[in-house]
Amino acid sequence: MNKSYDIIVIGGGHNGLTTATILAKKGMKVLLLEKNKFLGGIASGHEFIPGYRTTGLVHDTSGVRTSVLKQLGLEQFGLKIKNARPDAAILAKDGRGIFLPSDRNKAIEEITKISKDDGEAYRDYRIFIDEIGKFLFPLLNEIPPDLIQFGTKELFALGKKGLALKKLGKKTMTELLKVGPMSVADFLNERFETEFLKAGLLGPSIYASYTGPWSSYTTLNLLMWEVCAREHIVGGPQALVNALEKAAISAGVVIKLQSEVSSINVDKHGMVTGITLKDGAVENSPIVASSCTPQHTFLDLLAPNVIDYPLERSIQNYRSRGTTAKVNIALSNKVKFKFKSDDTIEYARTGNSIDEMEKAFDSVKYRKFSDHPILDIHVPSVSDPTVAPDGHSVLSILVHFAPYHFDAGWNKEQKDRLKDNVEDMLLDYIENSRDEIVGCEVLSPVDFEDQFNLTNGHIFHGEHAVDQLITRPIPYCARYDTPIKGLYLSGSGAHPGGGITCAPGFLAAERIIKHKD
Amino acid sequence: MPVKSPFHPRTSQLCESMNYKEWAGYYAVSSYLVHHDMEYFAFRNSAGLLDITPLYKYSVKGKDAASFLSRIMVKNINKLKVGRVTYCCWCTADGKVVDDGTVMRRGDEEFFVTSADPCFSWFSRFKRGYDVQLEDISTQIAGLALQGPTSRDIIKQITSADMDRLKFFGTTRARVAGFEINISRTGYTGDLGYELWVDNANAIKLYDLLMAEGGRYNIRPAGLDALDVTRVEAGLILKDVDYYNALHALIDDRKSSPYEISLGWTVNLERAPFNGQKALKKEKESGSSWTIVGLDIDWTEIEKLYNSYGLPPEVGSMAWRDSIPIYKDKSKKTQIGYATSGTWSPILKKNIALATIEKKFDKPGATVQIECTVEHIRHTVSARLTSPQFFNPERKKSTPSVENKKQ
Repeated sequence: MNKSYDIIVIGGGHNGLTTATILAKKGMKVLLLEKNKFLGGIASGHEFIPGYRTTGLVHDTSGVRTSVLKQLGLEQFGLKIKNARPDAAILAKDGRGIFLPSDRNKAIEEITKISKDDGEAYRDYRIFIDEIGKFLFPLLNEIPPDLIQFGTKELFALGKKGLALKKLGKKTMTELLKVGPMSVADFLNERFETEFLKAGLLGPSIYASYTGPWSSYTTLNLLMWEVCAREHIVGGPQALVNALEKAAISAGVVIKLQSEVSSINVDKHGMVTGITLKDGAVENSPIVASSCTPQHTFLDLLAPNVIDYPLERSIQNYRSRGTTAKVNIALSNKVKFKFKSDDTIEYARTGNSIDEMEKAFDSVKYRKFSDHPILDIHVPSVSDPTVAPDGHSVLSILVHFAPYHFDAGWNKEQKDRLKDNVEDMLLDYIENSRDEIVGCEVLSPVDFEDQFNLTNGHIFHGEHAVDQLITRPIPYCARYDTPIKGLYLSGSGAHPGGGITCAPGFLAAERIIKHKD
Repeated sequence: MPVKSPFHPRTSQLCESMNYKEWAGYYAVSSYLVHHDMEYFAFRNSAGLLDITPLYKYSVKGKDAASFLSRIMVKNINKLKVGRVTYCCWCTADGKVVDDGTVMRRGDEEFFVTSADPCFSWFSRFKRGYDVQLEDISTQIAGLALQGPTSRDIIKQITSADMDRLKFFGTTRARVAGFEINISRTGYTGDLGYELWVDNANAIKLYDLLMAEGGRYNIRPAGLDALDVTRVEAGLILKDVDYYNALHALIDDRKSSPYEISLGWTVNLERAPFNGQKALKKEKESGSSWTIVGLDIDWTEIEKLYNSYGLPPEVGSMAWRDSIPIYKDKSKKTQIGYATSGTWSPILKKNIALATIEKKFDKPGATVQIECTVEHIRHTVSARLTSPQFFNPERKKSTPSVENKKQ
């Protein structure tokens, strides 16, 4: 075979860039192909109205793995990380709110202002998170054990996990085993009394998922988010993309933009030979790492007869129902939240009550978007005033829930309706008036799919359901390699899942290196 | 309750025995007379007319029809020429046979597929990525098999389509008394014969025409009992008798690869990926465990065995389909396989069977022992391993137009 590259990475999102750079640093000749004119995928920001920019389509960088960033050497390329999750505000409709600083003691103080019992409960909750983090966090930072080719080695690896679980101590272990499968509503009801606090805390457990607070196993999602939320990046996801790009170039990765792959090529022995681009150009390589969604990789990029039916069926059954929309708002003033008169709040979550959140989810089951959506708000202009004109603000809002499978169809009329819903909701929580809104951009799950090939517009490349986390995305390819020799999954559809973490990209690179040695 | 095929108004009038069985949800005549021998001899000496409507029938059309079928079938359908038919099977991803049937290419982008089991759901699974229209036309099309030495002459009476040129496993459209039918030179008797495919609306007209014109050629309606004898003579395997549909097998041992059921010749391995390719390549390299053979059961030994009890030899006149143990030798220490179906062959004057045996014991001409129960006691008699194709007359493949040219 005419081998031009050691590896081709499909997709220039933060995971694709991570895989490419790690491998290039190991001396491999790497080609990275990106469909868009820019790198970063949904981690990239853009100017949505002249003069107003976001710092990422998604904005939560709290789960980014500093161990990976260190290996990539991103600090030398200007990346600034704060080793704490961002401070966030939890908002209630009646104008109340709780400011939750990353500093635990300060957060307890803030909660105590509302409820003394909840302040204490929060302290216990954080201790529980610390404890289980010792077991969960390592699981989310290594190549998962092989559950298919099960032998002595695998039994030993699983045994070690069992021991690590046991090490938590009887109390914490039984508590983890008890609460993991619970609904997050039940879990928080056991601990807290203030309704809007519970609603605010549970937000990350259901964002982008096909679950409401009363769905089972949502506690596990909350715990996973909590144990990983340890950092944040100054300047948001776009700052990470900028540093990753520089690191990739410096490591020698060949980056081609506006290069959409139309097929992954496989020879008659079932071995990867390279890719073909939409324009017909062919690039050869014995290894292809796809950071696209599993469905796009297997169902769109591979010829239909290349994968066996059981694999195809498994991929088709992989659940990836997008439920998140994005509304970017340009404001001609500083954002002033009702509950706190200063204008320094950068992250805020709404929810108000568990019931309201459940109802917001209900609508997607019936292929409608919520008239009272949950808002996950980032105000990038607080820490980076350059994203908007002087004194103005940008609100980057992830809207839950708005389904990809939408009966009315995503057209301008429906987008305007969603925008109105979001504005109405927002104005319940902020002092600013509607007149201060300069402009708005609405992105539906369909837009995500069109621009980023996200199957059904799912921002995590597939739901974080327990079955899809244990063997992610599916049992046939839960360890980055696939039944197609030379094809790897290196995106959010692989372990440990979606969000801005760099973890799947890094672990896929590790797996590729192991296979090469 | 079974349903009636479009030919039922005629076949039910002719079925004096009232002897029916259920075939794929249809009433199917087992034998028209109380005994099937006249029908058998029609197949072998003149022409037997059999209602094959219960077969499942699919239309596959579209730009990618050939590659779609090539992805499903073990045979490369891309290479099938227009006007030709192929017999083949289709497999699971593990290389185990789901069903067998015929694929007819009626046009560049037009195929007709028959199967024994309903396969619409199975075929549908593989449509993704192919520009193809798959339609289940099982209940729209009626089928007749006209099999036997005079079958060609009969069909020549009802159509001007050139039957002298239609080769073995060829197919053609034909105009018959104001309507169109499809004729394929295929069948399940291992003899000269045709299958005629007609829209339900014209089914009775076609039946009447054939019976009227066939009179001079000793046409006779024939049932499944006679067919069963002929198919064993021809060594043609039957699903659920000689092998199991892999999708219905309750245990893995019941699944078979094409190589294990004498259909290895239908597999085209070296080509674009198809269902089961990887597994079949592996099996081709490492060898198969089982094979289907023919058994020529020693008549003298049967006679002797019965005589030792003071009995004349008893052999059923019907084909049988029981699992009968096959042993390596008289000691019965090593069971090497099992017979799955067999018959007394009136035309060969032989007691024959189809058997699945371990591949390592497959030595043509070797003698094995087959169980034979007389007076409630299990004995064995010798049987010689042969090709399963016991009966294969020259006329099966003869094409008069070509042969005349040669002279």
